[in-house]
Parts: sequence; C-alpha cells; structure tokens
Amino acid sequence: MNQVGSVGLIAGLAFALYAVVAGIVGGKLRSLKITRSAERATLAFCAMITLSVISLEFLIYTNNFNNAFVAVHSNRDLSLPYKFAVLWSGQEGSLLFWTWLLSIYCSLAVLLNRRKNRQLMPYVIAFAAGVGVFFTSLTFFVANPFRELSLSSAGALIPFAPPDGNGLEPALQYRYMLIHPVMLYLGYVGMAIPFAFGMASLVTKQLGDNWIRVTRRWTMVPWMFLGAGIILGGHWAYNVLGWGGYWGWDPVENASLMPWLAGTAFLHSVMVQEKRGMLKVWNVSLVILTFFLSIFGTFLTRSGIVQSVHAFAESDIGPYFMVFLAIIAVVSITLVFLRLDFLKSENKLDSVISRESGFMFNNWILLALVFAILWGTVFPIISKAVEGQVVTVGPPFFDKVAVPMGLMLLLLTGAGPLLAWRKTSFESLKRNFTVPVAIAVVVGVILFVFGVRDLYAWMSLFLGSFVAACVLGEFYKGARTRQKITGETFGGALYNLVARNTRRYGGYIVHLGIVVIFVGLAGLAFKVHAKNVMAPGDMMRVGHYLLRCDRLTSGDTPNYTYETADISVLKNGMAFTELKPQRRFYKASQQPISHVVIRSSLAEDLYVVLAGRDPGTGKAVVEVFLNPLVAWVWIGGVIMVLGTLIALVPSRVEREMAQIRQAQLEALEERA
Amino acid sequence: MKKGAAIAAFLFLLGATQPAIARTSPKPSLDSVGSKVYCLCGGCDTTLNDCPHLPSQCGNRAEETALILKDVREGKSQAAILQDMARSYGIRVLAAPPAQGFNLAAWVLPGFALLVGLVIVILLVRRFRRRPPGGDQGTDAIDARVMAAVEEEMSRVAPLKD
Repeated sequence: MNQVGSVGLIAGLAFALYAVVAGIVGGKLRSLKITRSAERATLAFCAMITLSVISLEFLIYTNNFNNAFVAVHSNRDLSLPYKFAVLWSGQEGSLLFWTWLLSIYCSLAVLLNRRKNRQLMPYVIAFAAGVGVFFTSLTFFVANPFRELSLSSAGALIPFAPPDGNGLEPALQYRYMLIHPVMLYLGYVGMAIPFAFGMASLVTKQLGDNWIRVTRRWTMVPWMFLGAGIILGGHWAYNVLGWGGYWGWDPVENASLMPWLAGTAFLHSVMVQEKRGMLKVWNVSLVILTFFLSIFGTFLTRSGIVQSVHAFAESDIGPYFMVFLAIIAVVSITLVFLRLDFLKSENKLDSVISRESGFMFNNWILLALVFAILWGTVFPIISKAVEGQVVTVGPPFFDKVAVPMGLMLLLLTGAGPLLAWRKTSFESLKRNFTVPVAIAVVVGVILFVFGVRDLYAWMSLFLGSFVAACVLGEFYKGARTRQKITGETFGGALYNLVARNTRRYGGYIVHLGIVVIFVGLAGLAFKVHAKNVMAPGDMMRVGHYLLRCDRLTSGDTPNYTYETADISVLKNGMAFTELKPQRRFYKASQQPISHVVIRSSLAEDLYVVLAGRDPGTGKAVVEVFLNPLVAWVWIGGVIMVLGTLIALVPSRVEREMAQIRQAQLEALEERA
Repeated sequence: MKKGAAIAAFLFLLGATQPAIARTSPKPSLDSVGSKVYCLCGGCDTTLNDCPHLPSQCGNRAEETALILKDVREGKSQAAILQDMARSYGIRVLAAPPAQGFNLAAWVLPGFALLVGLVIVILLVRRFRRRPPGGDQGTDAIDARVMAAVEEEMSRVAPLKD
C-alpha cells in the first residue's frame, strides 16, 4: 500500500503539472480542446491524490507500523474515529490532506464552470493546479507519508515494523478534533480558488464585475469554514488544554485569524465594486493578500519558526514555503501593476457619509488589525534578528493592541448597514440611529449601575446592544414594510424578506453572530479562578459554588490509565451536580493529560480540572474556573455559520437575474 | 480646527495601542503579576496564570511563583516585580515586550499603521470625491476601461477554437 500511495502522489503531481501547462496553452490559444484536457487532468489529479489518501488510511486502519507515519502517529488501541484523524495529526499526513482538499476544490471549480467563465477557466486551472504542484511536490519529495521503516543489517536494509505505534497525541483525542482541523483546512485551502480566479482575471484583463461575482461565493465558502474552524479550535483549547480559556493569541491561532480578517475585508469591499465600480485594485489585492496569509498561516503552523502550543507540527519545511510565498508575492504584484489601467474606478464618491466610505473604514480597521496581529506574531523573530534578544509577545500585548480595534469594528458592524449607498442625509442618519443609540445608552447605564466597571467588557456590551438594535431594527422595518404592502403575516413577511435578499439578510445574521461572540468575550472580565489540594471530604468555595471531593478512584482502559476525582457541587447551599474530572495517562505516547469537565449554562461555565496529585501528600490538585458567558461564544459561532449559509443561497431575485443572463448568453451564442 | 482634530485623532490612536506600563496596580498580587509573565518550562507556552501543569511537573512555575510571592510580601510595585523577573529570567519571561529601545517598535507600529491607514483612506476618499461621474481621467484610461468591457463581452460570445 505504501507503493500505491506513492504512485498516487507522483501521478497526481504529473497530472497537476500537465494541468498547469495545458491551462496556460489552452488559454493562450483559446483552444477548447486543450482547455478540456486541462480540466480532465485536474480531475485526474484529484483521483490520484484520493488514491493516496485511501492508501494512507488503509495503512492506519490496518496498523501497518512498517509505515513510519503510522508508527509515529497511531497505535493499535486507538479508537476507530481517531484513527481517521491520524491523517492530519502529523506533518506528512496533514500535507497530503491539504493537497487532497485542494484537488477537490480544483475539481469542483472545473465541474461547476464547464459552461461558464470560459475565458477565465484555463488560467484558473493553471493557477489552482500550480498551487497543487507545490503541495504535491512537498508531500512527495520532502514530507512523504509513505516512507517505510527499515533496519540496517550487514550492510543491507531490511523492512522493520515495531509491534505498536507511538499513538496519537493525547491532546488530539477529543471529538471536535475530528472536525476542527478539517474546517480550518477547508478554509485555508479554499482561498486558493478565489486567488486563482483573481489571477485569471488579471491575466485575461477581464476585470469587470464577472470575476467579482464568481469569486465572492468562492470566498464565502472557505471564509465560513475558516471561521468555524477558528471557533472549533477555541472550543478544543477550552475543553482540552485545561487552562480555562479559549483564545491565547498563540501564533498558530493568529495565523488562522489573519486570512479570516482579510477575507472579511474582501467580502465587504467587493460590494463597493459590484454596486459602484470602485476599489478594483483594492479588491484584487485583498484576494491575493487573503491567499498569501492562508499560506503564511500554513507556513507558521508547519515551520516552527515561532514558539507555539501547536509544536507537534514543527519541521524543516519552512524554506520551501518561503520560496513559494515569494513566488506568490512577485507574480501577483507584477500582474496587478501590469493591469493598473484596467483597474480604474468607474464612479466618484458622492459623499463621505455613505455606505461606500463605511466599507472603506471597515477595511481600514480590518487591515490594521491584520497588521497588528502579524506584527505581534513575528516580532519575536524580528527582535531576535535585530537585537539578538528573544522577547515574548503574548496576550497582554494583543489585548492592548487588538481589542480596541475589535471594538471599533464592532461599532462599524452596526453603523455600516444603516448608511445608504452614494449619500446618507442627516435626516436619514437621525431616523436610523436614534433608537439604536438610545437602546445602547440605556443598556450602558444599566450595566454601570449593576457594577460593570471593566472598560472593555462595558464597551463590548454597550456597542453590542447598539449593533443588535441596528440589525434587528433592519429586520423589523423590512418585515413591517412588506407586511403593509402585501398583507402577509409578520412571520411570513420576515421569511420572504430574507428569501428575496438572502445575501443582505444573511450578512446581517452574521453581524448578529459577531455581537453574540462579543457578549461571550465580555464575560472574560468576570472570570474567577481557584486552586486547591483536596483529599476525600475536603471542600473549596468558588463564587456561589461549594465543591466537595467525595473520593479519588483510578482505572485502566486499553488506551490509557486514569485517576478520577468524584466531586459534589452545591450551588447557593443546594445540591447542584456531580462532576468527575479525570487525569489520564496515555500508554502509547507516555503522556498525561487532564480530562476537563464543564457544567455549562448560558450564564456561566463551571470548569473543573483534576491537575494531578500533589507528590508530597497524595491529595488531588483541583483547579476550578467560573467563566461567565462562554456559551455565547459558541452560539455566536453557530449564528455566523448559519448567516453565511443563508447568504450563500441564491435569492429569488438573484435566481431570476441568473436565468435572464443565461438566456441572453445563449441567444448571443446562437447568433454568433 | 482641522489640525486640532487630526492631533486629537493621532493621540487617540496612539494611546489605544500603548503598553499597559503606565497603569500601575496599587497592590500587585500573584494573580495580577502572573498574567504578565510567562512560564518558561517550555512545555506550556502560556502565562504563569494559565500554565496547566502542577508545580511538581513544572519546576519553573514553582520557582517563578516563589519569586513573585517574595516580592509581593516585600511590598514591591508591579513594575519592580516585573523588573526583578526580567533580571532573573531574562526579558523573555515578560508576556509583552517592555516599551523601551527597539521593543518600543512593537507597541508603536500598530498604532502608526492604524494612523497611516486612516490617512490613506482619507486621501482615497478625497480623490474619489474629486473624480467626476463617468470618469475624465484622460483618453488612455477611458480606452482601457472600454477595452476591458469589450473584451469581457467578447469572451462570453466568441466561440473557442475546437
């Protein structure tokens, strides 16, 4: 099976290379025949990489420890679902996984555009397959997951297989780990397709609205996956790492946030080009930047150039990524410069107080935030290079620098949608903003009266109430207007309002999701933390909870041994719940990890960790966190995904317009 | 008036990204200092407060905690405790770079970038405001735009060679 996997990789590489060449030649000669062969090569690339993935999964599921990757990252007693996750748990497998997802995206781009965007597609294939060539080469030549273990005996190499593998990293044996990396990768990898469309439009000089229309959807999908991946990553950190938090400004976390922010900027500024024919250079630059940051994020995750909790992915592939990043930068910047004449604005800005300028300010803050995060992430490297001194840039820096910008963005999240295109009159401003501002002021005063003194928490809730009032007001006003015109019920009017403009109202739902996440973040200011050593019968008080250690037990499973603390919890003096935090010791990897238990509610999470046993007394070391409002972070994430899905559904108006466009196109083709 | 507003905006933006050193906590505690220093065991890569390891598993944590508690008992200020920590473990122990020397760049540059971005947006807005509708950027620009539109339209209708 190792040979089959390797053959799949090398054949995939050959097909991807062919797709690049055939794409360029097909585009240059405008030859449908050659372009079709590039398309078939793309599909074959996908088929071959799929074969490699199946081969590796087969090796993992059959415990073939002669394969070095399987021996290092899996073991016999690993449960079946986690065996699937072994694929992305190490460098070699995750690069193969990256390549596989890319090949699927490329194939989807080909299949969904067989009759559309014919001028762009040859170059889209060439650029997307070009990215595929890089990743397949890296997987085959540098980090091949099909290497076999062998022993040197009397000058000859003989195959070797250990009786069992080292096992999957314990921190990865968590149910959301089955989906969190998949989401992140779908996000990172998917950004290659809008990049390919952007590059193709630059090459073909087709820089009108068409590529923007196509690219917007291809950006929204990976943007949604990346957002979901970031939230799931926070969920994993919260549930597994045992430090009571979900975001630590770790370089790898930052690496995923940066392309998401750049993608957010693009998804907003693209509307200015669609509606007003402006910001063309900016939009194509944002597509390039988003893809660049996706690759940069992968580079940070893989190279180990910065210290990170994701140390399991460190390796020496950094230089290859640096070369690839340099190629992307040089090619794309050159193309943008060569096409500047085709990227000029078609309209003027009628007023500073308009939706267009709102989007420009939103882009300003988003990009400044990207820069601040990037700067903080790479500053330790710069400091070491300049001063020879290693510094740490951790949460206090990012909280101080990024949170104020985040709050400015939150304000624009509410204000932006209320500004009209072209020009917003003073009367309109007054009409739209009076109620939201009044609601926010009332909420702000109530919060202050009830003792909310933390500035960031107060600002989050104050601005959050303003944005929620703005967005919900839009739904209310729209539905009431429909109700008056059509006589529908309010619910029916609301449904039809959203169905007729899914993009707009889906976007508003995403904004509501952001508000909900900020509400969750505000809870961080009221976090309570306590730690104690406990023997059976001992008690500790945390906030309004009283925890009593009832007993300490231990046990054994094929995969790990464990110690459990049975803890009874009383809330305000009444029996509330029983919790059983565990400390596990994984046999194969010889690593301990705490299995956190969380009693979650909308108001707060009671988060209990059995950190281990005190070596002196043998008592259990129990850490307890009282984390207010955390559940809202996850709820906000779900709302954001839901909003994006709604925005992705073509609205009735869009469907009608698409039908008209298609009919016009067919009529023109017939005439030609 | 405009100058005053610009200076105020500059000071606000710069202030928004300034280090927390100016804020001095009157009574430092293990918790308040623990969120500003890193555990240097190399295994957790978090602040001392967030280190999930037991003192028995993490020698650094116990040592750093002892130093902080000693300084707190001696009534030192938070800044003095952080200086002691940096002296004992190197500057890397601080969870954020100190705002001095080259490290000042870490704090100033994001605010500076924010400001430069604002200036660019303002310049862009002014430039877009001046441009009349339909564009009067000269013959070349009109040609390029028209050509782009024509080529895009042509590509939709022109059959590809088989």
